[in-house]
Amino acid sequence: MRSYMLWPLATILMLLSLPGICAQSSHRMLGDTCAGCHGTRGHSASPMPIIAGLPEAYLKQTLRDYKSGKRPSTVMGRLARGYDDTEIDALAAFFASQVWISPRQELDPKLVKSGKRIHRDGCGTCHKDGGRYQDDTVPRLAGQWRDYLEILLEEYWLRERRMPHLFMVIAVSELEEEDLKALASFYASQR
Amino acid sequence: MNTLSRRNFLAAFGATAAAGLLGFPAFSRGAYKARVVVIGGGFGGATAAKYLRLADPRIEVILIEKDEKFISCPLSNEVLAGERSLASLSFGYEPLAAFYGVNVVHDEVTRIDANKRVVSTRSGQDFGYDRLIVAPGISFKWDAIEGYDNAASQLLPHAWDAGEQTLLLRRQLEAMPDGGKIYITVPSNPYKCPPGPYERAAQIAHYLTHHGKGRSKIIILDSKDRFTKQTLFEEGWEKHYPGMISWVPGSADGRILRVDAKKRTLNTEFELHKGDVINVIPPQKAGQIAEQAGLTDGKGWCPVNQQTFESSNRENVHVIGDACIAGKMPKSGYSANSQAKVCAAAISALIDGAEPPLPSYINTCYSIIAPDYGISVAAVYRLEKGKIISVEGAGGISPLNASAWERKMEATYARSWFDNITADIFG
Repeated sequence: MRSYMLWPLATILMLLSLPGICAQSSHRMLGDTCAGCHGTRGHSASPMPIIAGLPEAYLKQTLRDYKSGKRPSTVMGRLARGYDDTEIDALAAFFASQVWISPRQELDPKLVKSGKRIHRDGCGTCHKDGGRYQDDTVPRLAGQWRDYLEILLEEYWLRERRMPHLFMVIAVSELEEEDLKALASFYASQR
Repeated sequence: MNTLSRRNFLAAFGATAAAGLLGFPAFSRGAYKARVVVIGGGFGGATAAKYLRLADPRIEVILIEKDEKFISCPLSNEVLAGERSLASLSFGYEPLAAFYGVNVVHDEVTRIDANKRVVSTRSGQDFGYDRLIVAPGISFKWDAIEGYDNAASQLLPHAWDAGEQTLLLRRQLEAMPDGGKIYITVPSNPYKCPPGPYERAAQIAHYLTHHGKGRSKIIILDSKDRFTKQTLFEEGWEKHYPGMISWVPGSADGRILRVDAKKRTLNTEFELHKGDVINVIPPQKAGQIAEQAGLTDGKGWCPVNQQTFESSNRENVHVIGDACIAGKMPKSGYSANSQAKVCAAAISALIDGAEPPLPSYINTCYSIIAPDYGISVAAVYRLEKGKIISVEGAGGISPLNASAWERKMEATYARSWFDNITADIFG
């Protein structure tokens, strides 16, 4: 009687394990395809952003925003539309589970210094601990590529880009153009 | 310097993985569970060798490659424009050996015995294998255009293998006076790097425009009636090099039949063209070793199981990159890199007697039309009923009429792509 009852369960389990029924590529399989642009396991060369070790929830949201077009991009929207929600979650989990490494960068100490001032007077409220802090909505900035930070700040600064995160758009709109370079250099210096 | 140190990078894989890699020399030969031989150290082969070692350090990997340095074809059009050196496109194999424990052998494979599972090299060495990956890239169909053979390519360069051929074409462009006529001939699909000829036209135009040769003309004689990113190329050409580049499709007598290398002439069905510089991109097929080993079909390319890249013709032999038929994927460096990872994961599973994993693939091809003006085509691929297909609703080309900022970003990301993918392969 007991073994008879177990049969349907065993069948269901077996069916679930068959590819095609719950077909999904492994986290690593999905994540490895991104390396062509984002570097092996998300450790990228400049200026493509380093994504290894960013918060899982942040990565999930960012990919969803690229997919929906809420966040503008050159190529990421076209690529993000290639994944369903489960795959996006898998990609986010894969890169979140990697370890962040801050690369060495040549930086202008003057810019780093003026960037520090802007950070202290404003940005540091959310991007705490020199930009090392991260949570579900705040990505780590410390040790990111300077050139990428500059591109990103420029995106927030330029009207044409229509970036999401209204708070960031407003905050960055109050900065002068040279402040963007300074901030990028400061966060790049914080390893 | 803006580089991620290798020591830091290895640390990122975590203590366990690092110990596995660094502990490599401690394994005796007998400790390996299997041996995989990889033929060809380009975008596909070198990636496969590295990712097999990352997947399972107990797989012995022997990479056989005849050249000491790899020279990338992607971005070699910038060498023609004088914007980049050949050295910046060259990569050695030392890190693959030192940091990933790949046994790199510089030799040329002359024979594959798929029954005995042995490859033989020119220097007389034999390597037995459990599984073989063949990644030879393309070779040229020298018989396809009358008068165009290896000797003719010394006068009319193809420059479709980066290196001496690239420099030869560059020297010819430098020697050409203003007002000269440059021909680029393009074969039918499939061939390596579909947008390459059109990016090349733009890069040559960039050189001409900035070196007092603005009255020169570039004529593309195409066997095809349309090409990848066509609207974007035409927009970019017109914006940066108005009137300089003209494209003749196959249906308007663009297909060349015959060349005379000494007279520098080209024959199409109805016309004779005389050029000051002629770049003949010949029709292509899989690399020679694939043909010799019986891996090719009637058209010269290698049919494979598109999930594992195992040859349809020979067991335990996998073919990746330009040489293989990979469904909807184009023959590009990114495709080869992506296929290599799928293949490595499949082989690692098969060696363990497990099911090969469900694959996922990407391709992105950037083209640089001017130093601050890039465009791209991208796609995500998956397997359906045994064929690689593009995921619907995803991918596609950059928008037309994009802002200068976006075009500049795509040029920046194109170069960053190159740095990242080559670090992923050779770093």
